[in-house]
Amino acid sequence: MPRDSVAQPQGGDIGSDPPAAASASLMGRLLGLLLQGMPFIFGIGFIAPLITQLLERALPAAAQAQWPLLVGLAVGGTWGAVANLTGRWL
Amino acid sequence: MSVSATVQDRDLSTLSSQELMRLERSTAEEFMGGLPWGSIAWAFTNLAVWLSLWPLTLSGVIPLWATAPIATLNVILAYLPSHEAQHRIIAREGERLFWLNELVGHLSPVPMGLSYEAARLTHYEHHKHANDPEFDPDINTKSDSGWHMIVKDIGSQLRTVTKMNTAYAKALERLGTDEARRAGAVALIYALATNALLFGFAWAGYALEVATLVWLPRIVGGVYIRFFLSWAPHHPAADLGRYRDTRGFRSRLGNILTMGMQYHIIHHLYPRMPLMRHPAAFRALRPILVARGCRLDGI
Repeated sequence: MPRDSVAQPQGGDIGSDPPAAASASLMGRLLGLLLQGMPFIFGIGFIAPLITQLLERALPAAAQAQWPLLVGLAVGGTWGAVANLTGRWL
Repeated sequence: MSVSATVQDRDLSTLSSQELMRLERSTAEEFMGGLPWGSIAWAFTNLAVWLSLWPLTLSGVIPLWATAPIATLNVILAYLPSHEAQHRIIAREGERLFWLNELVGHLSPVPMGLSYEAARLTHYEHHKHANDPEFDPDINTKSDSGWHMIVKDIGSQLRTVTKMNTAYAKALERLGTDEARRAGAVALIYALATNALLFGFAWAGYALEVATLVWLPRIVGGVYIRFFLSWAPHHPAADLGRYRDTRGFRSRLGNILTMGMQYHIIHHLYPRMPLMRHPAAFRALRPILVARGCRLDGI
Protein backbone atom coordinates (compact mmCIF):
# COMPACT_ATOMS: atom_id res chain seq x y z
CA MET A 1 0.00 0.00 0.00
CA PRO A 2 1.54 3.36 -0.95
CA ARG A 3 2.96 5.35 1.84
CA ASP A 4 1.34 8.76 1.23
CA SER A 5 -2.27 7.74 1.63
CA VAL A 6 -2.03 5.64 4.70
CA ALA A 7 0.79 7.17 6.64
CA GLN A 8 -0.94 10.49 7.16
CA PRO A 9 -0.87 11.46 10.79
CA GLN A 10 -4.28 11.58 12.41
CA GLY A 11 -5.48 14.29 14.76
CA GLY A 12 -4.31 17.90 14.98
CA ASP A 13 -7.77 19.37 14.36
CA ILE A 14 -9.01 22.30 16.41
CA GLY A 15 -10.09 20.98 19.76
CA SER A 16 -8.12 17.74 19.58
CA ASP A 17 -5.94 16.74 22.47
CA PRO A 18 -2.46 18.23 21.70
CA PRO A 19 -0.31 15.44 23.22
CA ALA A 20 -2.43 12.81 21.45
CA ALA A 21 -2.12 14.71 18.18
CA ALA A 22 1.64 15.06 18.63
CA SER A 23 2.07 11.37 19.38
CA ALA A 24 -0.11 10.43 16.38
CA SER A 25 1.99 12.74 14.24
CA LEU A 26 5.20 11.14 15.51
CA MET A 27 3.72 7.70 14.78
CA GLY A 28 2.86 8.85 11.29
CA ARG A 29 6.38 10.14 10.68
CA LEU A 30 7.95 6.95 12.02
CA LEU A 31 5.62 4.88 9.86
CA GLY A 32 6.49 7.04 6.85
CA LEU A 33 10.19 6.47 7.47
CA LEU A 34 9.64 2.73 7.86
CA LEU A 35 7.73 2.55 4.58
CA GLN A 36 10.25 4.70 2.74
CA GLY A 37 13.00 2.32 3.78
CA MET A 38 10.95 -0.83 3.14
CA PRO A 39 12.82 -2.04 0.00
CA PHE A 40 16.12 -1.91 1.92
CA ILE A 41 14.52 -3.59 4.95
CA PHE A 42 13.10 -6.26 2.62
CA GLY A 43 16.57 -6.79 1.14
CA ILE A 44 18.06 -7.39 4.58
CA GLY A 45 15.00 -9.04 6.12
CA PHE A 46 14.11 -11.50 3.38
CA ILE A 47 16.46 -11.55 0.38
CA ALA A 48 19.59 -11.89 2.55
CA PRO A 49 18.48 -15.03 4.44
CA LEU A 50 16.98 -16.42 1.21
CA ILE A 51 20.32 -16.13 -0.59
CA THR A 52 22.12 -17.54 2.45
CA GLN A 53 19.83 -20.58 2.54
CA LEU A 54 20.14 -21.09 -1.23
CA LEU A 55 23.94 -21.07 -0.99
CA GLU A 56 23.90 -23.49 1.94
CA ARG A 57 21.59 -25.88 0.03
CA ALA A 58 23.61 -25.63 -3.18
CA LEU A 59 26.98 -26.03 -1.42
CA PRO A 60 26.49 -28.29 1.64
CA ALA A 61 30.18 -27.91 2.51
CA ALA A 62 29.56 -24.22 3.16
CA ALA A 63 26.71 -24.85 5.60
CA GLN A 64 28.89 -24.27 8.69
CA ALA A 65 30.83 -21.35 7.22
CA GLN A 66 30.11 -17.66 7.73
CA TRP A 67 30.58 -16.57 4.13
CA PRO A 68 27.10 -17.55 2.81
CA LEU A 69 25.58 -15.22 5.42
CA LEU A 70 27.99 -12.42 4.49
CA VAL A 71 27.24 -12.89 0.78
CA GLY A 72 23.50 -12.92 1.55
CA LEU A 73 23.71 -9.70 3.55
CA ALA A 74 25.89 -8.00 0.93
CA VAL A 75 23.68 -8.97 -2.02
CA GLY A 76 20.36 -8.48 -0.17
CA GLY A 77 21.43 -5.18 1.37
CA THR A 78 22.84 -3.78 -1.87
CA TRP A 79 19.85 -4.94 -3.93
CA GLY A 80 17.41 -3.44 -1.42
CA ALA A 81 19.34 -0.16 -1.24
CA VAL A 82 19.42 0.16 -5.05
CA ALA A 83 15.68 -0.65 -5.20
CA ASN A 84 15.12 2.01 -2.55
CA LEU A 85 16.92 4.60 -4.67
CA THR A 86 15.53 3.67 -8.09
CA GLY A 87 12.02 2.51 -7.12
CA ARG A 88 12.52 -0.74 -9.06
CA TRP A 89 13.74 -4.22 -8.13
CA LEU A 90 15.20 -4.80 -11.60
CA MET B 1 -42.80 -21.98 -18.65
CA SER B 2 -40.06 -19.87 -17.00
CA VAL B 3 -39.30 -16.32 -18.12
CA SER B 4 -35.84 -17.36 -19.30
CA ALA B 5 -37.35 -20.00 -21.60
CA THR B 6 -39.60 -17.40 -23.22
CA VAL B 7 -36.64 -15.08 -23.91
CA GLN B 8 -35.15 -17.68 -26.26
CA ASP B 9 -38.29 -17.78 -28.44
CA ARG B 10 -39.20 -14.11 -28.58
CA ASP B 11 -38.47 -11.59 -31.28
CA LEU B 12 -36.70 -8.99 -29.16
CA SER B 13 -36.36 -6.49 -31.97
CA THR B 14 -39.97 -5.41 -31.48
CA LEU B 15 -39.45 -4.50 -27.81
CA SER B 16 -38.76 -0.99 -26.57
CA SER B 17 -35.70 -0.36 -24.38
CA GLN B 18 -37.89 -0.31 -21.27
CA GLU B 19 -39.63 -3.57 -22.19
CA LEU B 20 -36.26 -5.15 -22.83
CA MET B 21 -35.05 -3.99 -19.43
CA ARG B 22 -38.16 -5.43 -17.73
CA LEU B 23 -37.63 -8.75 -19.50
CA GLU B 24 -33.93 -8.74 -18.57
CA ARG B 25 -34.67 -8.07 -14.90
CA SER B 26 -37.39 -10.71 -14.65
CA THR B 27 -35.11 -13.26 -16.33
CA ALA B 28 -32.18 -12.41 -14.04
CA GLU B 29 -34.46 -12.61 -11.00
CA GLU B 30 -34.71 -16.39 -11.50
CA PHE B 31 -31.00 -16.72 -10.71
CA MET B 32 -30.81 -14.45 -7.68
CA GLY B 33 -30.96 -15.31 -3.99
CA GLY B 34 -30.17 -18.44 -2.01
CA LEU B 35 -27.11 -19.24 0.02
CA PRO B 36 -24.01 -19.87 -2.17
CA TRP B 37 -22.84 -22.96 -0.26
CA GLY B 38 -20.36 -23.82 -2.99
CA SER B 39 -18.46 -20.56 -2.50
CA ILE B 40 -18.60 -20.88 1.30
CA ALA B 41 -17.18 -24.43 1.20
CA TRP B 42 -14.60 -23.30 -1.38
CA ALA B 43 -13.41 -20.48 0.94
CA PHE B 44 -12.88 -22.66 4.02
CA THR B 45 -11.46 -25.67 2.15
CA ASN B 46 -8.94 -23.52 0.32
CA LEU B 47 -7.87 -21.77 3.52
CA ALA B 48 -7.60 -25.09 5.37
CA VAL B 49 -5.36 -26.54 2.64
CA TRP B 50 -3.13 -23.45 2.67
CA LEU B 51 -2.84 -23.44 6.48
CA SER B 52 -2.08 -27.20 6.47
CA LEU B 53 0.74 -26.56 4.03
CA TRP B 54 2.63 -24.57 6.67
CA PRO B 55 3.45 -27.37 9.14
CA LEU B 56 3.76 -29.91 6.33
CA THR B 57 6.27 -27.76 4.45
CA LEU B 58 8.21 -26.46 7.45
CA SER B 59 8.62 -29.98 8.78
CA GLY B 60 9.77 -31.25 5.38
CA VAL B 61 6.85 -33.70 4.93
CA ILE B 62 5.96 -31.98 1.65
CA PRO B 63 8.90 -31.02 -0.60
CA LEU B 64 9.21 -27.43 -1.79
CA TRP B 65 8.58 -28.36 -5.44
CA ALA B 66 5.14 -29.66 -4.40
CA THR B 67 4.37 -26.79 -2.02
CA ALA B 68 4.91 -24.08 -4.63
CA PRO B 69 2.13 -25.11 -7.07
CA ILE B 70 -0.34 -25.97 -4.29
CA ALA B 71 0.22 -22.64 -2.54
CA THR B 72 -0.06 -20.82 -5.89
CA LEU B 73 -3.39 -22.55 -6.50
CA ASN B 74 -4.48 -21.49 -2.99
CA VAL B 75 -3.67 -17.87 -3.80
CA ILE B 76 -5.53 -18.08 -7.13
CA LEU B 77 -8.57 -19.58 -5.40
CA ALA B 78 -8.50 -17.17 -2.45
CA TYR B 79 -10.14 -14.16 -4.06
CA LEU B 80 -13.52 -15.17 -5.45
CA PRO B 81 -15.29 -16.31 -2.26
CA SER B 82 -14.29 -12.99 -0.71
CA HIS B 83 -15.64 -11.30 -3.83
CA GLU B 84 -19.02 -12.94 -3.16
CA ALA B 85 -18.84 -11.51 0.37
CA GLN B 86 -17.83 -8.07 -0.90
CA HIS B 87 -21.14 -7.97 -2.77
CA ARG B 88 -23.03 -9.29 0.28
CA ILE B 89 -24.17 -12.30 -1.72
CA ILE B 90 -24.01 -14.65 1.29
CA ALA B 91 -26.00 -12.21 3.46
CA ARG B 92 -26.69 -8.50 3.67
CA GLU B 93 -26.09 -6.27 6.68
CA GLY B 94 -28.84 -6.91 9.24
CA GLU B 95 -29.57 -10.43 7.95
CA ARG B 96 -29.11 -13.49 10.15
CA LEU B 97 -26.05 -14.84 8.32
CA PHE B 98 -24.23 -11.55 7.84
CA TRP B 99 -21.54 -12.79 10.24
CA LEU B 100 -20.86 -15.67 7.81
CA ASN B 101 -20.62 -13.22 4.92
CA GLU B 102 -18.02 -11.19 6.81
CA LEU B 103 -16.16 -14.30 8.00
CA VAL B 104 -15.79 -15.54 4.41
CA GLY B 105 -14.88 -12.03 3.28
CA HIS B 106 -12.07 -11.69 5.83
CA LEU B 107 -10.71 -15.26 5.91
CA SER B 108 -10.87 -16.33 2.28
CA PRO B 109 -8.24 -13.85 0.97
CA VAL B 110 -5.73 -14.58 3.77
CA PRO B 111 -3.43 -16.63 1.45
CA MET B 112 -3.11 -13.61 -0.84
CA GLY B 113 -2.67 -11.14 2.04
CA LEU B 114 -5.62 -9.03 0.92
CA SER B 115 -7.51 -6.81 3.32
CA TYR B 116 -11.26 -7.41 2.90
CA GLU B 117 -12.49 -3.88 3.59
CA ALA B 118 -9.97 -2.23 1.26
CA ALA B 119 -10.82 -4.80 -1.41
CA ARG B 120 -14.56 -4.22 -0.95
CA LEU B 121 -14.43 -0.44 -1.13
CA THR B 122 -12.06 -0.30 -4.09
CA HIS B 123 -14.03 -3.02 -5.89
CA TYR B 124 -17.22 -0.97 -5.57
CA GLU B 125 -15.30 1.88 -7.20
CA HIS B 126 -14.36 -0.49 -10.03
CA HIS B 127 -18.04 -1.32 -10.57
CA LYS B 128 -19.03 2.34 -10.45
CA HIS B 129 -16.34 3.45 -12.89
CA ALA B 130 -15.46 0.31 -14.90
CA ASN B 131 -12.95 1.20 -17.68
CA ASP B 132 -12.83 4.86 -16.71
CA PRO B 133 -9.17 5.81 -17.20
CA GLU B 134 -9.25 8.18 -14.24
CA PHE B 135 -11.48 6.51 -11.66
CA ASP B 136 -11.41 2.73 -12.27
CA PRO B 137 -8.81 1.38 -9.79
CA ASP B 138 -8.38 -1.73 -11.98
CA ILE B 139 -7.67 0.18 -15.20
CA ASN B 140 -3.94 -0.63 -14.98
CA THR B 141 -4.57 -4.10 -16.40
CA LYS B 142 -5.74 -2.52 -19.69
CA SER B 143 -3.41 -3.86 -22.40
CA ASP B 144 -3.36 -4.51 -26.15
CA SER B 145 -3.27 -8.32 -25.81
CA GLY B 146 -2.97 -11.11 -23.26
CA TRP B 147 0.81 -11.30 -23.60
CA HIS B 148 1.10 -7.54 -23.35
CA MET B 149 -0.89 -7.69 -20.11
CA ILE B 150 1.40 -10.36 -18.62
CA VAL B 151 4.62 -8.49 -19.54
CA LYS B 152 3.15 -5.21 -18.24
CA ASP B 153 2.00 -6.85 -15.00
CA ILE B 154 5.40 -8.42 -14.32
CA GLY B 155 7.01 -5.04 -15.05
CA SER B 156 4.67 -3.41 -12.58
CA GLN B 157 5.49 -5.97 -9.89
CA LEU B 158 9.16 -5.09 -10.23
CA ARG B 159 8.41 -1.61 -8.91
CA THR B 160 8.82 -1.12 -5.18
CA VAL B 161 5.36 0.52 -5.13
CA THR B 162 3.10 -1.04 -7.76
CA LYS B 163 0.75 1.05 -9.91
CA MET B 164 -2.08 -1.18 -8.71
CA ASN B 165 -1.48 -0.34 -5.04
CA THR B 166 -1.18 3.34 -5.90
CA ALA B 167 -4.54 3.19 -7.73
CA TYR B 168 -6.23 1.45 -4.78
CA ALA B 169 -4.82 3.96 -2.29
CA LYS B 170 -6.00 6.83 -4.50
CA ALA B 171 -9.48 5.31 -4.68
CA LEU B 172 -9.65 5.09 -0.88
CA GLU B 173 -8.34 8.63 -0.56
CA ARG B 174 -10.94 9.86 -3.05
CA LEU B 175 -13.69 8.21 -1.02
CA GLY B 176 -12.38 10.13 1.98
CA THR B 177 -14.71 8.48 4.52
CA ASP B 178 -13.73 7.17 7.95
CA GLU B 179 -14.45 3.69 6.63
CA ALA B 180 -12.03 4.22 3.73
CA ARG B 181 -9.32 5.59 6.05
CA ARG B 182 -9.76 2.58 8.34
CA ALA B 183 -9.60 0.21 5.36
CA GLY B 184 -6.36 1.88 4.21
CA ALA B 185 -4.85 1.54 7.69
CA VAL B 186 -5.83 -2.15 7.90
CA ALA B 187 -4.36 -2.78 4.44
CA LEU B 188 -1.12 -1.19 5.63
CA ILE B 189 -1.11 -3.39 8.74
CA TYR B 190 -1.62 -6.45 6.49
CA ALA B 191 1.36 -5.43 4.34
CA LEU B 192 3.58 -4.85 7.38
CA ALA B 193 2.43 -8.10 9.02
CA THR B 194 3.19 -10.05 5.82
CA ASN B 195 6.70 -8.61 5.73
CA ALA B 196 7.20 -9.31 9.44
CA LEU B 197 6.10 -12.92 8.84
CA LEU B 198 8.48 -13.31 5.90
CA PHE B 199 11.41 -11.76 7.80
CA GLY B 200 10.76 -13.80 10.94
CA PHE B 201 10.57 -17.16 9.20
CA ALA B 202 13.44 -16.30 6.84
CA TRP B 203 15.85 -15.44 9.68
CA ALA B 204 14.69 -18.51 11.62
CA GLY B 205 16.10 -20.61 8.75
CA TYR B 206 12.94 -21.11 6.69
CA ALA B 207 13.51 -18.55 3.91
CA LEU B 208 12.99 -21.03 1.06
CA GLU B 209 9.92 -22.45 2.78
CA VAL B 210 8.16 -19.07 3.18
CA ALA B 211 9.26 -18.10 -0.32
CA THR B 212 7.34 -21.11 -1.67
CA LEU B 213 4.40 -20.71 0.74
CA VAL B 214 3.85 -16.96 0.43
CA TRP B 215 6.23 -14.91 -1.69
CA LEU B 216 6.34 -16.74 -5.05
CA PRO B 217 2.66 -17.86 -4.99
CA ARG B 218 1.52 -14.27 -4.49
CA ILE B 219 3.61 -13.08 -7.45
CA VAL B 220 2.53 -15.88 -9.84
CA GLY B 221 -1.05 -16.17 -8.53
CA GLY B 222 -1.43 -12.41 -8.67
CA VAL B 223 -0.67 -12.38 -12.41
CA TYR B 224 -3.24 -15.15 -12.98
CA ILE B 225 -5.91 -13.36 -10.94
CA ARG B 226 -5.39 -10.02 -12.66
CA PHE B 227 -5.32 -11.72 -16.07
CA PHE B 228 -8.59 -13.63 -15.73
CA LEU B 229 -10.50 -11.50 -13.25
CA SER B 230 -9.57 -8.09 -14.54
CA TRP B 231 -7.95 -7.98 -17.98
CA ALA B 232 -9.85 -10.74 -19.84
CA PRO B 233 -13.45 -9.74 -18.97
CA HIS B 234 -12.87 -6.04 -19.62
CA HIS B 235 -10.60 -6.23 -22.67
CA PRO B 236 -10.24 -3.95 -24.62
CA ALA B 237 -11.46 -1.74 -21.74
CA ALA B 238 -12.29 1.02 -24.20
CA ASP B 239 -16.03 1.49 -23.65
CA LEU B 240 -18.04 2.70 -20.69
CA GLY B 241 -21.64 1.90 -19.79
CA ARG B 242 -23.79 -0.95 -18.53
CA TYR B 243 -23.67 -3.09 -21.66
CA ARG B 244 -20.19 -2.20 -22.94
CA ASP B 245 -17.76 -2.07 -20.01
CA THR B 246 -17.55 -5.87 -19.64
CA ARG B 247 -17.59 -8.65 -22.21
CA GLY B 248 -18.33 -12.36 -22.49
CA PHE B 249 -15.45 -14.36 -23.96
CA ARG B 250 -14.51 -17.93 -24.71
CA SER B 251 -11.21 -19.10 -23.27
CA ARG B 252 -9.31 -22.20 -24.37
CA LEU B 253 -8.95 -22.97 -20.64
CA GLY B 254 -12.73 -23.32 -20.24
CA ASN B 255 -15.03 -22.14 -17.50
CA ILE B 256 -13.47 -23.78 -14.43
CA LEU B 257 -9.86 -22.80 -15.15
CA THR B 258 -10.95 -19.23 -15.83
CA MET B 259 -12.94 -19.36 -12.58
CA GLY B 260 -16.23 -18.49 -14.30
CA MET B 261 -14.88 -15.27 -15.78
CA GLN B 262 -16.13 -16.06 -19.30
CA TYR B 263 -19.52 -14.91 -17.97
CA HIS B 264 -18.26 -11.94 -15.94
CA ILE B 265 -20.57 -9.66 -17.93
CA ILE B 266 -23.43 -11.13 -15.89
CA HIS B 267 -21.67 -10.08 -12.68
CA HIS B 268 -21.41 -6.45 -13.80
CA LEU B 269 -25.10 -6.44 -14.75
CA TYR B 270 -26.23 -8.21 -11.56
CA PRO B 271 -23.44 -7.95 -8.93
CA ARG B 272 -25.43 -9.83 -6.25
CA MET B 273 -26.01 -12.93 -8.39
CA PRO B 274 -23.95 -15.90 -7.06
CA LEU B 275 -20.93 -16.74 -9.23
CA MET B 276 -21.96 -20.35 -9.76
CA ARG B 277 -25.21 -19.28 -11.42
CA HIS B 278 -23.52 -17.04 -14.00
CA PRO B 279 -23.26 -19.67 -16.79
CA ALA B 280 -26.98 -20.53 -16.64
CA ALA B 281 -27.98 -16.87 -16.31
CA PHE B 282 -25.77 -16.03 -19.29
CA ARG B 283 -27.46 -18.65 -21.45
CA ALA B 284 -30.89 -17.35 -20.42
CA LEU B 285 -29.99 -13.70 -20.96
CA ARG B 286 -27.86 -14.12 -24.09
CA PRO B 287 -30.52 -12.96 -26.62
CA ILE B 288 -31.06 -9.79 -24.58
CA LEU B 289 -27.31 -9.17 -24.39
CA VAL B 290 -27.10 -9.56 -28.18
CA ALA B 291 -30.02 -7.14 -28.59
CA ARG B 292 -28.20 -4.67 -26.33
CA GLY B 293 -25.05 -4.84 -28.46
CA CYS B 294 -22.88 -6.47 -25.81
CA ARG B 295 -19.49 -7.81 -26.78
CA LEU B 296 -19.67 -11.61 -26.64
CA ASP B 297 -16.40 -12.90 -28.05
CA GLY B 298 -17.03 -16.45 -29.20
CA ILE B 299 -19.42 -17.42 -26.42
